[in-house]
Amino acid sequence: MLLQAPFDIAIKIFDLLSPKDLAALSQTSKTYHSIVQKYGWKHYYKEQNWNLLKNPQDTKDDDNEQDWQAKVAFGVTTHKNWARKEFSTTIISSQRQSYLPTLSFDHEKLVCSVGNTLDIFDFAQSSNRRKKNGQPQKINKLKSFIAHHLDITDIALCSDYNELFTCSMDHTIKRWFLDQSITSQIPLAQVYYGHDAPVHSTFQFPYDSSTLFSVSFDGKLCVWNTDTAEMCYSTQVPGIPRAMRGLSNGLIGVGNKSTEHLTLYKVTPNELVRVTSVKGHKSTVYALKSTDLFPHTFLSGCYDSISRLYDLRNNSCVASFKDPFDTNPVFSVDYDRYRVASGSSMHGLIRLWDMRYYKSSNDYSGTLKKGAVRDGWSIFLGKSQNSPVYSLQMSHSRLVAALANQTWMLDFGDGGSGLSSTDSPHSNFHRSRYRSSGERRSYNGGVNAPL
Amino acid sequence: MATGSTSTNISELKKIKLTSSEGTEFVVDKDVGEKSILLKNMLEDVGENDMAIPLPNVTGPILTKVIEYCTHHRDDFFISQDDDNKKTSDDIDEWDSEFCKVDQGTLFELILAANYLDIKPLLDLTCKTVANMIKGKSPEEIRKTFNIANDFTPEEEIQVKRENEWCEER
Repeated sequence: MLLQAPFDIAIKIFDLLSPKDLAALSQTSKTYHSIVQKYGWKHYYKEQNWNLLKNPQDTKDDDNEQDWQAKVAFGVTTHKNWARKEFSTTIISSQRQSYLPTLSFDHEKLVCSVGNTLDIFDFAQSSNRRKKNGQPQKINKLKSFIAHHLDITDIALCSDYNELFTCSMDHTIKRWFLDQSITSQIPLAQVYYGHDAPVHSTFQFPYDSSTLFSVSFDGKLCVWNTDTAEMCYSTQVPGIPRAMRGLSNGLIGVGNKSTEHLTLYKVTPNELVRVTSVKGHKSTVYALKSTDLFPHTFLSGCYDSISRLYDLRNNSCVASFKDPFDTNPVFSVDYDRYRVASGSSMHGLIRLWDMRYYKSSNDYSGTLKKGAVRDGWSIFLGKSQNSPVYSLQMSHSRLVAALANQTWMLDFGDGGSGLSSTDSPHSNFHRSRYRSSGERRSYNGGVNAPL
Repeated sequence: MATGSTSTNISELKKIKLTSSEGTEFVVDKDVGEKSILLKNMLEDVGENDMAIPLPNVTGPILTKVIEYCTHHRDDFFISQDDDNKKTSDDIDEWDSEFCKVDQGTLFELILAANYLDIKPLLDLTCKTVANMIKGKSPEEIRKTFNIANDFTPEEEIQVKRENEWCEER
């Protein structure tokens, strides 16, 4: 009966089915197997908006030959692991104490700054493939070199153009080309001079490779032409800037230590226009994120310990996230369509929330903000130290966090199958697998990493 | 709803004629007929007219069901469901679920008619009903429900089963 229905009706019915139902349907007969393989999984996958990192060179995105079932399998398994709080941990690097370590990753590489050194790691396996034969994931350090005279304060990784910008306490911004050569250093393309103070952060919109934004500790927000390495124009932000980020509608947000806390700027061809200050924060905004997966929104991490989700269309706070057991400031944030992660200023603590409402425990396609449960929990990384989580980034399956002297990767991708410290090709990688114990409360106080 | 009932009073005077595929004529109130976007657009294009509108794709019994549905929901505002809401199929009210207790052939024809006449709430309802017939069932149960013949060889069946192991609860 389903087979005789026009294609758009079949899709409408698929839309209402869970992966488990699709799987059952595909096992009934050859014909159903082939329509589910051909359309069902692909449709399901496209509807999910999972935060999977894509290779920008991968143009086969719409190719029917792709293994959509494998993609859905990976996505759903990862979802279950998040819901169960089950993941593997890897200490990617241990280093000396560092001021403001930062990190950024894409589908194939992870870039970390430690002091004035830049470390580049290779995610050897693609993030949306199931691991074969339970092989542990390999993370190889590709390159490590001194990039600036003084400490690096921020990294802007532009994977679409295979390049990287770093800014530093030494008042400069540097542009690097990320080629595949195996030399220990990557080519330095340009140095941007013009800031009279340490540069706090730098940002580039993925759709505009010729413009770069930066903000320095003296409160100067600058727009650079990346072709000529010239500063085009600048404006003064109120107070000391603590975070700067381009938002999904083309605005620039600057978290600052003033009475405004967070100020938005509009980019025009010849100046930066102050639009408004964002209401709702009780203190300085230390972290900002915006994502194309969830347009018209941004997430702010504030010194008052609250992470807030804003709707840019009416500039209002639509949700706020607070750990009831931790009143420390938020130093780093990331989010996607269904999760919020926030790094605390103390104890290497990462707080995580699920923004959606689960209708039932095996419905993994929950919807947003309908009486959201906001299942919150937290992870302590590094009990022995008292480090802030300076920087963190989250994808569908991974969360990477930079602490003062360690960089951690949490992988929810495959339930940590086959992972043990002896499997690890690198002795400095500590791997473990753990899941939370005890009953599910709306807020679990925390999960301790067995070290 | 004050405005809703006034508009009903006015349009009570207006009737439209529909002809099913067998040539049977149906007279319905204009506001009931206009639940179908296809008919609504047609009436707007043609203007006031006594001519019966031929519906060659819809049989008499199905058209009766469709009219029953539209009459029951004549005062509902058919709001297009927002995206947040579309993924659920367990929000069917009692009258609607009784309405869908028909044999599979009728249900399928209702889907086609709702699609053709462009009555989104009826299309949603019937698709949800079909989805609910699949949901939570094993492959064998689905085969039974829809009378599907299993044409896998035993080897193929094992392979397909293995292919889908990942979504079983661990």
